[in-house]
Amino acid sequence: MALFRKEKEISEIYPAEDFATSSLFCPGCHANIKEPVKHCPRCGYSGQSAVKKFPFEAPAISRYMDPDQHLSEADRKTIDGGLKELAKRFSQPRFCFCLVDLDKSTDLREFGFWLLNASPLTSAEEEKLRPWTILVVIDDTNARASITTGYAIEPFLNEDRWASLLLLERSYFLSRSYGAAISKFVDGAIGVLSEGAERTERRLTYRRMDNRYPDRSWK
Amino acid sequence: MKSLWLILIVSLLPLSGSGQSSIGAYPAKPVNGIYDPANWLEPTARDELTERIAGAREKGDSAIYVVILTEKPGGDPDYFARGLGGDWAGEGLWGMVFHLPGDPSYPKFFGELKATHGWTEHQKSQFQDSINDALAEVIKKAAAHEDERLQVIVGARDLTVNFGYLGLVAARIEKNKTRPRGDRLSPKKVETKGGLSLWSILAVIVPLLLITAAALGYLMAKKEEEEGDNYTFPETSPRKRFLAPWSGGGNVMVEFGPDREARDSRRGGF
Repeated sequence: MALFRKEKEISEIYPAEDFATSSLFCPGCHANIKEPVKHCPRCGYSGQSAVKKFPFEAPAISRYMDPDQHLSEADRKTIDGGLKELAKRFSQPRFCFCLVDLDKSTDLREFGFWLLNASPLTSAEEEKLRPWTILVVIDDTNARASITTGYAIEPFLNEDRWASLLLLERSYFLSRSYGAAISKFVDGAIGVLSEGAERTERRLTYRRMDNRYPDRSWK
Repeated sequence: MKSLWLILIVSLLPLSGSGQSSIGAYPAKPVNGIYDPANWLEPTARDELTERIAGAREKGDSAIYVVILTEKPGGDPDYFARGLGGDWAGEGLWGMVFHLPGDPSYPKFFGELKATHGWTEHQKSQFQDSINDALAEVIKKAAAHEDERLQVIVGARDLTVNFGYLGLVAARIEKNKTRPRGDRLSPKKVETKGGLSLWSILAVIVPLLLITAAALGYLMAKKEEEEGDNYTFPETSPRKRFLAPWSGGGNVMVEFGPDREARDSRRGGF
């Protein structure tokens, strides 16, 4: 991957909008929002709304949140191996997999939004990892899956790619072969992250060229 | 104004035939090749010339002498110089810078090789020409300077280089009894330092550098392989929304199929 380089010297903080490729949506009404807001301009949704909707203590975020033991030890070992390989290329994102049984009326996206924000911080390490978390929620009862990403990693990723990746593993999800499904998802996630990295590099390059030659267009 | 330099033709005539020899005993041969009882040479120049003289000795077994006399020896000084060189060097190759400070006709340069036994006349003649050419080069270089000290130092330097080379030629002739090359000595010879030639130094350093570069390259490649191509996303000011501290949520949800309920009812789980 000659395109990628170690970004050791970046100390500048960029606006997320410079890289964001996915739109903003309200977890409550799914309205497309133009810019970050405290409350949804259409339905007034906020984090408080989610807390009210899920009035119980959120579990601590961990790699595997699987109370019904859908994943065997062998499955977890396989997934851990895949994540280790992924971490060699992308050490910042942290993947968490939550397998639950939810009511069909519960919006999985909203559940993921609540879980990622309401889950308690158990350590200083968790505080660093939370913004880089990619939470995959799998609803076993209703054969659904959603992805919720932390603020730090969100601008670089194309949500459409996540959706495509999940659909690719449809047969595994349907047959409840969650170990294989997640393992293949992790393998595919490298591609999604790589695409995000390439796009980010392009935009960084344009930005630098714009700064150096403001009278020209580099895009 | 300095008088014009004479190019010295060193003869191979025996010393006893000249007639002007009543000068007295020659001084003892100096260990470092420099006879300067009045310390006319500055210490730094003395040290430099000592090193160069030692180098010429080591390189070509050539004896180089720097003789500084504060007063003229009795008789012909040039005859005295030739006699002195022969006495100190014996039959071996020698070169000398002979100087009388304050005398505009000095310094003068001498050189001789008597050990030509078994050489052909052609070889002797050729080698004598080489000595003459070497001395002519030395005189020319020294004459370029006005200052007598510089003339001595520059002349001595050049003498060590040229006669060092001549010593090698003589040694080769001795070894092979072949015709000398009769090279005209060029002042642009590679200077040696402490007996090591530039090429021998390069012959050691270049392979060493290549091996070091190869080892470093291997270690870096191995480290890269272990670390992988790790990409770091830049830090951003996040698009925070809905008063949520960690995530603004997302819009990705996939429903995999309609027949899960039927499947689950078969399981009897709920």
